[in-house]
Amino acid sequence: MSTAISLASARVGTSLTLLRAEGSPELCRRLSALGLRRGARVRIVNPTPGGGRVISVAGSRIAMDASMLKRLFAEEIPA
Amino acid sequence: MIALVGAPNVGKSTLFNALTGSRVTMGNWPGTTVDVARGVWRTTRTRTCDCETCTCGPAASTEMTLIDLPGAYSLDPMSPDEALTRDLLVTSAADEAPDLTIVAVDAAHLSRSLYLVAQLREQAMRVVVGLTMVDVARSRGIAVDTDELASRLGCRVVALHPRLGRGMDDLTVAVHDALDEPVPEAREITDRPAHDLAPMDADLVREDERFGFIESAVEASTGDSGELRASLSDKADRWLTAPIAGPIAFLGVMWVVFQLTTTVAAPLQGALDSLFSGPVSSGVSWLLGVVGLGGSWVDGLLVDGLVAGVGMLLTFAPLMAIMFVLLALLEDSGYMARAAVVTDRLMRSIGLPGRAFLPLVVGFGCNVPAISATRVLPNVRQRILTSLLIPFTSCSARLTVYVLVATTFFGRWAGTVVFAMYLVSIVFVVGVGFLLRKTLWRTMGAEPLVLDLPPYQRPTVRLTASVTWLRLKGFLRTASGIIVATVCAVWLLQAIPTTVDGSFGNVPVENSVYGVTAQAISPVFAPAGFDQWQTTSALVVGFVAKEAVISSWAQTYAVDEPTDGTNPGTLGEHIVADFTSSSGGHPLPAVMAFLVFLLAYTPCVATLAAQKREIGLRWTLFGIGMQLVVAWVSAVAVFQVGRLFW
Repeated sequence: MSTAISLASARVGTSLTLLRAEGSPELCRRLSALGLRRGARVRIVNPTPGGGRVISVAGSRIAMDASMLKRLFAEEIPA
Repeated sequence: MIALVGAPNVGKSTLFNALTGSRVTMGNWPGTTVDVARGVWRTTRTRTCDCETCTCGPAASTEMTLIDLPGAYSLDPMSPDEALTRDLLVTSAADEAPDLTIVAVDAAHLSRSLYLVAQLREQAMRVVVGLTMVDVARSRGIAVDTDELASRLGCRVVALHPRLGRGMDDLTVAVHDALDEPVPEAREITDRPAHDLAPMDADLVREDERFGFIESAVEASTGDSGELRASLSDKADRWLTAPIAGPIAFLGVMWVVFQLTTTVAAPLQGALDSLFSGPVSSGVSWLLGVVGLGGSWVDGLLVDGLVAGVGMLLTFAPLMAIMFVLLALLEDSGYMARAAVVTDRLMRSIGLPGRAFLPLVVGFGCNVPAISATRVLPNVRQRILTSLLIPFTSCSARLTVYVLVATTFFGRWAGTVVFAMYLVSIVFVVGVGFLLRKTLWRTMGAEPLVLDLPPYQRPTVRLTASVTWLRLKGFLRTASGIIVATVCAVWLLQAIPTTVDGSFGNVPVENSVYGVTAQAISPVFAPAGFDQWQTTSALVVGFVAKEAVISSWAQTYAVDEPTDGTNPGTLGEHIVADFTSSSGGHPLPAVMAFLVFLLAYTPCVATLAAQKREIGLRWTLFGIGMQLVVAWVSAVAVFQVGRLFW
C-alpha cells in the first residue's frame, strides 16, 4: 500500500492520485476549480526555477512553487 | 443586457471582440476597482421559424449591451473580480441582473470550464454556453457533441471559432431564442448536504455533486480520457519554464522589450519633438505675427507653454503605443504566464510578485510606459506597490544629467559614477520595496504560486490593435490635462516679473516668480550641500521633464547649453564654482548627494500622469511625498557622511 507523500517530494515524471490539500478554504476552492481535487490524477512534468514544478492535471498544466507543492498530498500510482 | 463570463484563458476576450467590434468602452464597474468592458452587440435577427411558406417579417436589427466580466473559475468570491461576477449574476436585484449570460467554455478543458456553468445552473437564469477552442480540442483528439452536452447541462451549447468568426450566427440564434423563452428552471441537485454538516464539509459535498454533474455530462458528450497529449507547445514549455533555460529565454525577451521601448521608440520621439519645436512652433509664431501679437507674451505662452506641452504629450504616444502592443503580445501569446513562473522566486525574495519584473525593467528605459506595464499584475495592491517603486528606477532621461555632472566633476571616473547610480537605483527599489512591504503592505499575503499555464496562441492583429488603441486613447486623455497644465504653469511662473525692470514674458529667470520661489526653496538643500538657487531651479524643472534639466540649468546661468553631453563647457565651470561654494569646500560629496536626490525625488510629470491613471490621485500624491522624503534623507546622509572623507 503506497503512502501519501507531498508533491514536493515526488519525482519528476511520476503520476499520482491527489488525496488532500492543506490550506485555507479559499485556497482549496481555487485548487478545486483548477481540477486539483480528491481523486484527481496528476503528473509531475518538469522542474521550474526556484524549486517549483509544473504539474499536469485534467488536460492542463499548472506551475507551482515549492511551498504550494508541500501542501498537496498524493499517493503514487503504481506503474 | 447580456453578460459574458468564463474562466481566464478560454478566449473570452476574443469572443467579446468578435461580437462587439470597436464599439467598446472600458472602465471600472461602479464602486469597484474591477476593469469591465462594455460593448454593443449588433445582431441581425433571423428567426428560427418552421413556416412552410415563410410569413415572418424581415430580419430585424437589434442592439444589445454586452458586458465582458473578468475571468472567473467559479462564483466563489476569491478575488474582487470573482466577487463582482457573483454579485452581478446571482445576488443582484432582478432589474440589475443580466437578461442572459453567455459562458465561454474551453472545449479542450471541458471539466474545468464547466464548473461555472454548473454553479450558474443552480439558479434560475438564462445561460448559453459558447464553446471555444474547438480546433485546439480537435487537434488533441477531443470531439464534443454539442447537442448531447446541451441536453445534459440543460442549456444551449454553440460551437464557436471567434478568431475565424464562425459560429457567431448560431450564437445569435441561440441567444435570441433563449431570450424569447421564459427563464428556465434551476437544475436538479441530486446530492444535497445534510443540515448538520459543518460549512466546510457541506461545501465539499456541493463541490463533489457539481463535479459529478459535470463529469457525467463530459463523458456523455466527448470521447476523451483526459490525458495530456504532448504537443509542440508542451515541448516549448519544457524549456521555457526549465530552471536554467527558462531564465535565459526570459532575459532575452526582456532585452527585446527594453530595446524596443528605448532604441526603437527614440527616433520616433525625436522626430515628433523636432516637429513640435520646429515647424509647429514656427507656424504658431508666424500666425501670431500676422495678427500682430508676434514676440509678445501671448507668443511665449502659446509656443513655450501650450505647443511645448502638447508636443511633450505626443512624443510619448509612440512609446506608449509600443509598450501597449508588447504587453498585448506577451499576454495573448501566453508567454507572460511562463515569465511569471521564471521570475517568481527572485522577485518574491524582495517581496514583489514575479510579474513585477517587466515594469521594473521597462522603467530603466522610461518610467512612463513602465507605469502602464503594471497592468500585468493581477492584483490591485501589487500594482500600486510596483507603481510606487518604478520612479526609483533610473530612466534614460536622468542619465543625461548624470553624464554631464559626472564628466564635470569626476573626469576619468565618470563612467564608474554613472554605473554606481544604477546600483543605487536598484538599492532604492529593493530597499523601499522592503520598507513598504513591512509597513503599509504588511497584510498583502505572499500567495503561493499556483499558475495555470494557458496554451500558446498566435495573437490576432485585430484584437491587439484595438486594445492598444483603446489604452493609448485613455492615456492621452488623462495625461494631456496634467502635462499641458504643468508646462504652462512653469512658463507662467517664469514670465511673471517680481522687479520693475522686467515685463511680463520678458524677464531674466532669477527675477521671475519662478526664480524667487527657487531661491526661497533652496535653503532646504543646505544640509545636503547644494543650496544654490540655480541647482534648485534645475531640480524644479526636472519635475516637469528630466530631459529639460540641462537646458534650463544653462538658462539660469545665462550661458549656452553644451552641445555635447560629455563636454560641459562654460556650464560646467559655473556648476563647479557653485557646488564648491555651497558645500563649503566639499564639492564631491555634494555632487553625489545631488545625483542621489535627482534619482529619487519625484518622477517627471508624464510619469505622474500615468500614475494618476493607473493608481489614482491619492496614491500618486503619497508617492510624491514618500519620494521627496526618501530623496532628501538620502541626499543629506550622503553629503554629511561623504564630507568626512572627501
